[in-house]
Amino acid sequence: MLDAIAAETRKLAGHRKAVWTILAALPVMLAGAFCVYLVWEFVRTDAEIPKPQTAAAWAQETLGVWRLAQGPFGWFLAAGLAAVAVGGEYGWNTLKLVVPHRARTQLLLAKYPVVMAGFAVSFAVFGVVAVLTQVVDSAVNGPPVPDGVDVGALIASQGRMWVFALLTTVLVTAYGALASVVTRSTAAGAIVTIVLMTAQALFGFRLLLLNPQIYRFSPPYLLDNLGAWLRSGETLSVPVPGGAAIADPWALSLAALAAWIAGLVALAVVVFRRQDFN
Amino acid sequence: MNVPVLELDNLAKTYAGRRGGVRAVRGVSLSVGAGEVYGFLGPNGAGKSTTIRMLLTLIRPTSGAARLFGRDVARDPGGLGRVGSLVDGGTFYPFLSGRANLKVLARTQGLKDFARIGPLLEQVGLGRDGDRRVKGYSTGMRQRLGVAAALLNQPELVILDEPVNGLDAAGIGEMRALIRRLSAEEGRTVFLSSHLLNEVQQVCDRVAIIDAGAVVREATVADLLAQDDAVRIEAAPLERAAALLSPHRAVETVDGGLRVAARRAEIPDIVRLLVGDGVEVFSVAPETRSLESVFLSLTRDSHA
Repeated sequence: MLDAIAAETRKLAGHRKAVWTILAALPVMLAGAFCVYLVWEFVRTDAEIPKPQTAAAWAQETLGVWRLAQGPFGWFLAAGLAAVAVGGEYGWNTLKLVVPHRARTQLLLAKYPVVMAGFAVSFAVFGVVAVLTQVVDSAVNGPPVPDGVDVGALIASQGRMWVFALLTTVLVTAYGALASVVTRSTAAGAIVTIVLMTAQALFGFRLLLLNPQIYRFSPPYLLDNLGAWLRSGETLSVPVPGGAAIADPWALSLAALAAWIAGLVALAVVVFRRQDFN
Repeated sequence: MNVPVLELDNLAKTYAGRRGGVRAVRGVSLSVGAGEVYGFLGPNGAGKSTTIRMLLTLIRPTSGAARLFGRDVARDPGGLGRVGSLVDGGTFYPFLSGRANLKVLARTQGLKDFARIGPLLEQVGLGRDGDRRVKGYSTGMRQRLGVAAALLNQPELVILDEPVNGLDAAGIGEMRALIRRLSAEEGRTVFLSSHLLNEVQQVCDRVAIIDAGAVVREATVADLLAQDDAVRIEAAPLERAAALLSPHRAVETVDGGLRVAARRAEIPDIVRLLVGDGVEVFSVAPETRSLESVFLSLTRDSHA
């Protein structure tokens, strides 16, 4: 299995146009947007003098940009990379090269850790850029970084956002890989995944009205519950028609999300193992 | 007992579809021994590539078995580790160089030593282009890289599906020499599919002719080409020779000589008859057929 992962790493690392663009997109966009903001702040004449912040508020402000990685833009990137890694093999016709030499299950499973490792690094760089831009903003536009900012707490809060971004990305990657295997296409795999994630975000809450027991084990609630816990330390309490509330512990939601992801991966493996490559 | 390197046992593939689907391969059985160069000959669409893909586990057979080194590949694909293959003219990651592609394949195969890659690229004539992206390779260069990929794991069995497609005349000659070397000098078994009769005739020991998904004939190349039912005679005067022979057997004048219906064993009697009657005999030889004529007659018969 390690050889399959090594081969996959070598393969994806060589795909500069798609893979590196996707992985660099978040940190580069954040840094770029910050540079534009700096220039704007420099040229505008009606700038107000910002009020001093508490250390906690300043640290909290570094977390806001994570919505970019955890939301639709992040899904788009994850769907794209999963589709390139899995659907690309169909487009390049390269399964004929590798399938005779390694078990199909290993070939497919090797793709997930490589994609996730890429996002782990990308999100870590994104977190560093998020903090650095806040520091530079404080130094250039003021007020200065407040006293009492706890570096350990700052890293921990960034780490929790990093974990949540990765959890979201694992789910999207699982959808993306399955969609790419089923459609045998990079573009179709990415599009189907984005449609699925969007539909899940738009209509997931309706499950609550239809059947609260299904809703509490659906990805929208699981991600929301885990996200709330990672951001604030408290899980959600969602009122249910009839007066009760869904308030599952984070461990249950994490286990349910893991089961979802395992199911999606298993389904992709089953379909992949049964396919003919003409 | 020598276990065949490759064995197909009533292998069949039917693609689902209307009216019972499409029967791409219909009960193909054959066996290839160690060190043989075996030709799998058939027109386009005959089922050659489908058969090879079933052998390489790219396609699941509908019925029958494909065995490598005595092991059914569907149940135990371990035998594929001793096989190198070239299908579809070499399919590679276009954004990687030829060398990087071979490294990816090596890791996929579990090989950690990349030392063979340089010499292999040299061997197939890609020494100078190995670091270029495959996207910029010509069809022939991809084909050569495909051969390098097929030899990367030093396989005991090399499966080549249409290996000369896209190659120029010089490339075809090199490929022919390479196939001969693989067998004669390195002792590898080669299973070669082609629709090019000349290629198969020149390099293969045995051939199976497949048409419409079924093997219509399997034999050594020599047996296929031998036609023990006619001899060609060059003699003078030709009219007299024809007159002497025609009462006993069918005779026709072809290209300044005679084509006489006779077996090889009858040649001494024919020569005695002609010489005894004062005819000067310059040459007498059993007539041979081209693989093309054999192939055409067999495939025509199977369609009849």
